[in-house]
Amino acid sequence: MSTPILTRLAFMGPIKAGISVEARWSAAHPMDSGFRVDDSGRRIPRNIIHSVRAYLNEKLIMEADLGTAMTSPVYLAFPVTVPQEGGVLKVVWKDDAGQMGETVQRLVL
Amino acid sequence: MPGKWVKQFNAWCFEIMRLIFFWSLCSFLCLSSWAQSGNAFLSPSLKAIQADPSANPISLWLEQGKSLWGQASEPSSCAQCHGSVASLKEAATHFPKWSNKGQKLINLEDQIVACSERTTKPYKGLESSEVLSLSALLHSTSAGLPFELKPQDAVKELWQTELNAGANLFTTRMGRMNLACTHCHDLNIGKTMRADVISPGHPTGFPIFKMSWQSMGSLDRRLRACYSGVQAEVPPSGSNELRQLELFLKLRAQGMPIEGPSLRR
Repeated sequence: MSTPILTRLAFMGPIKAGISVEARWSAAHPMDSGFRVDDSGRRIPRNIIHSVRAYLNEKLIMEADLGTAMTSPVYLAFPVTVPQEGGVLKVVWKDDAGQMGETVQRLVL
Repeated sequence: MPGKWVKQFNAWCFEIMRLIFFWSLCSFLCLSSWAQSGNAFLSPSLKAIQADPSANPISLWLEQGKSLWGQASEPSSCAQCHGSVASLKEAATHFPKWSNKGQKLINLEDQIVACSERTTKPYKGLESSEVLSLSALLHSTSAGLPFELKPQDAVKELWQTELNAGANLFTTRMGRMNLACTHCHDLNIGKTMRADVISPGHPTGFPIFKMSWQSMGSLDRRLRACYSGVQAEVPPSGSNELRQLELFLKLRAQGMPIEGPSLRR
């Protein structure tokens, strides 16, 4: 089993109902593009986070298909409109090695 | 006739004054840049990322460090022996130090690996994410403190030999470029090398997140990159010569505060 991937989700801006804040998600994933070689000259197989989905209160608000040009650590920023009652933002990711994970952060009013 | 002499004398005086002014300006500029840390050479956009924890990639390693440190109740955690991270506030200031067990200099990363080998969860390699995240955590805890490098009395001579070897390495030409550390990091500070500005090379901001590595790296790795830069034979990770150089560099940066893990280009 590969090592657990560390992820982090933070909000920028005041969290008030109806106001848009910036959600910033990053993950310390190696993001091997498939073009690099290891010390013995063998190709490192492609292993990148290829799909990211963000759910606000279980409703899909953002979907991203990432390519090999993404940096490591992956960094995505997207706007989220804070609902009246607050809520939970969940970011679900999946990589080429079949590993999956999710980062959950509460939007506290 | 006397008028001509006076004129010539005035011209000499002017020339001498100009030289004195020029050299004092030069030495002032050299000295003022001499004690600058690597952070002073960051671009404005990198400075902005460094100042913002939600955009700074180092926070991922710091969070991993905190979770590895763990609680006193967890087996094989750092907290089980050491207590809170704050109790090791000065740890990062004392490395590299002489290890009686290994009879060589060890740095903080070596110590973290040695510590982990006494638990049931040993870390593999000096550049593993666990070792780097714990090193980042300890260095951020020591932020603001200067390096305190003093040998124990019993090993004073051995320590001094290592320090001399480090100073010697700093001034020895090597590689196909035939350059010593001192040629860039003492004599050409502030000039550009390719697209980068040469810093005095003070190791106060380690471990670093280097954008071109897309990862954290220790001083050990950064020094090996310098060997590769001058096209010299790169010593393996953990070599004694890297520790000697680290000891010399940290004494060279004496009095400068540790800045904790930092971003680099």
